[in-house]
Amino acid sequence: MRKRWLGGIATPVLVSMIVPLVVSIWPSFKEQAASFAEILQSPIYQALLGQLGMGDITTWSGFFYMEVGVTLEWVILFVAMFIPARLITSEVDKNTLDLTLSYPIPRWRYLLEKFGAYLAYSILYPLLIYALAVAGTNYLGETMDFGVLGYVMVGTYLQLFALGAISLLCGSVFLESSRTLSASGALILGQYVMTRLPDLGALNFLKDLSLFNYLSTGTITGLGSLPMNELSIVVGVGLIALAGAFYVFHKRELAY
Amino acid sequence: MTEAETVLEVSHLTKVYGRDLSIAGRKLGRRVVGARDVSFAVRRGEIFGFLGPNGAGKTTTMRAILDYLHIQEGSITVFGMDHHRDALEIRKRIGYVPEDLALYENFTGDELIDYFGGFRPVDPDFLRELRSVFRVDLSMKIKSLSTGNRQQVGLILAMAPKPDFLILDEPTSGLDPLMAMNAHRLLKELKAEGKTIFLSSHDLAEVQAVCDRIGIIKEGRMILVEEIGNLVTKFLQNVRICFSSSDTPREEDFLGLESVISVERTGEREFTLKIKEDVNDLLRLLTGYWIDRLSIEDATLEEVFLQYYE
Repeated sequence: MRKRWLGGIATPVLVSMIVPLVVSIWPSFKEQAASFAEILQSPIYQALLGQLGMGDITTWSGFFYMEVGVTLEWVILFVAMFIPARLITSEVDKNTLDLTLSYPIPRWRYLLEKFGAYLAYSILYPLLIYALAVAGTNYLGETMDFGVLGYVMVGTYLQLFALGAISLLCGSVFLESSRTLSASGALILGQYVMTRLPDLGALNFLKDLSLFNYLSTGTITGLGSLPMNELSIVVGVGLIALAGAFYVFHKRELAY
Repeated sequence: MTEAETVLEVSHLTKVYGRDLSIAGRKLGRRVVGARDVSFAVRRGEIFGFLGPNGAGKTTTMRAILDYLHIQEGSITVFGMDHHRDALEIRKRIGYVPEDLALYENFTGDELIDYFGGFRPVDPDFLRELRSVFRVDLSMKIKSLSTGNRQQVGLILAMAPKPDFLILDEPTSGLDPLMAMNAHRLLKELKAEGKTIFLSSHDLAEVQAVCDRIGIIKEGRMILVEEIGNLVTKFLQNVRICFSSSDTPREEDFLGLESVISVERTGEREFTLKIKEDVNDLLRLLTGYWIDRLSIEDATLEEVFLQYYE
């Protein structure tokens, strides 16, 4: 991972380019914002946007959160699903784990360093988007509460942490790419789909199990701050999954 | 053997993979024995060759020693420490070249030495010697090196810290004969300094050239541990017997003897036998016959190995 820093930086830079794009669209969109707002009330868009569709898109910040929020959800989904899951399994696939673990490195530390690298690269997403959003807002001469924007970015990062830890746990359990990706896909994509499903009746409680329901852009912008109860749930789940990944990797045998 | 003399002690090691599992007559899982009741010890300052056919349990045993595998029964101690409980302490003193060595492709050899040197510091003087002995360009990325050159990098990584105990799983596979010879020289040099080497190989010439003792494992069981010098004289001999008349023992008579491994009728009155350990029971059988010629020769080392491999 240390040697792949360029690839690690390139993706966040590429993703953050959504901000200049949104900035460039805003002046022409602003003219027709009212009619778009009506279209967004349709059930299809509501399902697509989930809790992001709550904002007022006739304002710059509402439009920004809708566009960037959707992008960030997809980033969280794919980054958390694929990258931590591959942290160990790629070493198993390439057979490099055998040599590395013959050195006096505690397994938990090895895993922590790998996950640390993932967290270091992941922080680039919120940092770059925040910086470009501030620059874009000033460029447009619009207003936006940068404090709330900061909270949204913190929420995004914590979701990347918690879902990434779940994905890492899958890697520790299975030590094999296809099964790990299937498990992490089922767990993370499943949670995402859960938030997008219509009313499930008696099974609605399942929606509460989705981490995508917590620290969402819609909730944070609505409250104007970080909901501490949601924060503790996301961080708690992340820490438990991380501890589980360390424990399983430390205890399990490397039979492959 | 005192603890100070023993570097590795494997005692009644048993490792079984998976389990027999069938539902409605359909087999879903199978139990595979990796190692069964394997016991042996490796002494300080020796090169111990670990031999056996493919799938015999060599790599299983090595991976169990390194605590990669959980053993079901038995115990393993390295430097008198438990292989599982004291795994980190043990790893400070070992060097390892795995079977099918794989290195980080985007690193150069030098970067790998620096990176792994952070976990187990290298001996700078010995590293210089290794650089001069192995002709691999350490400034090149691993992905652009040939298999043989990667193997050389693996050997440099394992040897550079001058560890007390080297575990080498087919260390010279892919090396050209000159490099393999250089590797053998280095192993002997390390041995002369009191380092211990546990080496698995299919190359019998290599084993003969460097090993002091060997252990042969077959179908998960250790079937022989012996000084290499004793192997030929003690374990296998070729006997040629030419009888004076057509009154000869039957092939079954020979095969009925415990020491006789195989019999080949090479003429009307001539037999060639392979026997192990003791010729006395054969000689007793022969006392009832007239013999024209009898020759007993030591088998070659290759014949000894093949005998145990088959």
